[in-house]
Amino acid sequence: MKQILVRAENCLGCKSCELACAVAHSESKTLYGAVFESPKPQQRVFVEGDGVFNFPLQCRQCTDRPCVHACMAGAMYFDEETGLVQCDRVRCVGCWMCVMVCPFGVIAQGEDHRAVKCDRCRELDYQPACVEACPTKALQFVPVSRFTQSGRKSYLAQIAKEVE
Amino acid sequence: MKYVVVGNSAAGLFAVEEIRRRDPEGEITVLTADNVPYYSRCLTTYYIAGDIPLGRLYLRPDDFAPRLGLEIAYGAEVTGLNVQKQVVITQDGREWPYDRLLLATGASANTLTVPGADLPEVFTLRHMSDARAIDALIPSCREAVVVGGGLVSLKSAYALLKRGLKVTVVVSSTRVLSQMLDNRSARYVAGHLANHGLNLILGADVAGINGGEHVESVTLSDGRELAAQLVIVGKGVRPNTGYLAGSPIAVGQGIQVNDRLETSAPNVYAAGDVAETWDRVLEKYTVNATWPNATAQGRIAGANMTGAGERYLGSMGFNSVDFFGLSVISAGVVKLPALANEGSAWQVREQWKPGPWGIPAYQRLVFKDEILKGYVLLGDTSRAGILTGLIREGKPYRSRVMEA
Repeated sequence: MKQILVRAENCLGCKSCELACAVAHSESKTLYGAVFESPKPQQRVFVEGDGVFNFPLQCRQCTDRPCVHACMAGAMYFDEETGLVQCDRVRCVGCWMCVMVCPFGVIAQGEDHRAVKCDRCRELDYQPACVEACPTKALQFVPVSRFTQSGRKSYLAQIAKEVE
Repeated sequence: MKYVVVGNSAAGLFAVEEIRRRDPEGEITVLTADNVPYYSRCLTTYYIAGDIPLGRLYLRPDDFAPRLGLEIAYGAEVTGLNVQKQVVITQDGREWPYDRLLLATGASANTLTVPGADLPEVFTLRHMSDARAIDALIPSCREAVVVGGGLVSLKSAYALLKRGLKVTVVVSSTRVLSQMLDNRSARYVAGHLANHGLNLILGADVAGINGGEHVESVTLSDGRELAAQLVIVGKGVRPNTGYLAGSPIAVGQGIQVNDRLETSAPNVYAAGDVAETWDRVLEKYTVNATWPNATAQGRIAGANMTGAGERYLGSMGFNSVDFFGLSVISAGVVKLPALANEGSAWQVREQWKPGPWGIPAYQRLVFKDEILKGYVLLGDTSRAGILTGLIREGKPYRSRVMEA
């Protein structure tokens, strides 16, 4: 199964993913339209950085799913079909139990007082806009096996370079 | 394998789901004193407020029980237990044999013992039936008194305010949410609620509730009288363990369990608001009666009933609440006085910043040595879960925050 995976060393902190994410979750799905929408579309990916190291972070799809288990409204749920944690925003009451337990801090509080999280671009047929927008391929949407394979390759290439 | 799960709230629900996930064949019987399918009692105040319809309280679709192959007995109040024979006894005398038993019998709301406390308009809010009765009564009320300064009380008061009643909250202690908040944040929350029309009386007790057949007013210990047609009592809860009298199952504050969530009797587990579990932050056994603790315990108890042998690393006190757009989240140790004798190992770092729309962003971090032990976030509560995670992991952290 494909996952959104991160090559942090490639991330320049340009925040193109944040912008693309907000646009992907707007009504109009265009940047120009999104800017004028109210409430403003919110991003669900967050580029964190300390000036040296950058990391784009969105829902990591935890296997123990603390947000689902903390949700007292039955809004956060595990979608068996796609294998993704999703938020049923009709059921969300804005108690923020999910915000309290998300270990990555990637569930946001929407202007409409409902939880906002990465839905893997459900409305775009599960083609993540953040990945598409990333100019350096720091964000990748690939099967985990292929990601680790490419990781090993780049590690070997690096060693080879050092040996030279 | 014959599983019996007593209780159909958070712990019971997550337990049966976990049991079924791991054991597709086993026979699962659910006994519940309730008469309604799985619902969230945390949502009752949202229903009373008019924020959500009644149907939204139900947590699972209609076909949930048949789909999971659950045999659910409603109105089945458990009155006893025979751990030698491995049977549970319900109030009608029926015996329910088990191979593995989960006690998720929850807690009951404490009531007032003052004169007039048995009048028909005096409620506690624990069950869907309470919520429905309160909802039905509201149109004929003008004033309400809510007794207690805890989460259920304040959420009830919030709901009644939203329904247009004149609401007074009477709190015996000198601050609200005393279990969840430090003085500073409690004061702010109290002020915020007052700004939204709540009449808050701190440091007072209810001496009596007056009225012939119906509630007419409430008298406080200082003699003050408050007109009211509705009273909601939120004075905490106590674990439902009465049916264990005479059984060998060890009960402290709640049913005592080990790190497998096993009770002192073989093949009997406990989870949720009834269970006294290891608190990983306070490092002692206690009852942490909140939804996320209950679901986690239900899941692990359920897994272990099927033989998984999972360890429960412990509960922790944490809660989140939102009043009129003011979000407050706290976890772990938030106050120092009780720990003062342990000396300077404990430190607090506070930050109070102005925020948008006049709501401040308050952050209080409590450290023991380098380890985060608790926090209060008010206003800006985004990413609270990262702090919760740091408390849970118990890894050194302070110096990096202090530098930042």
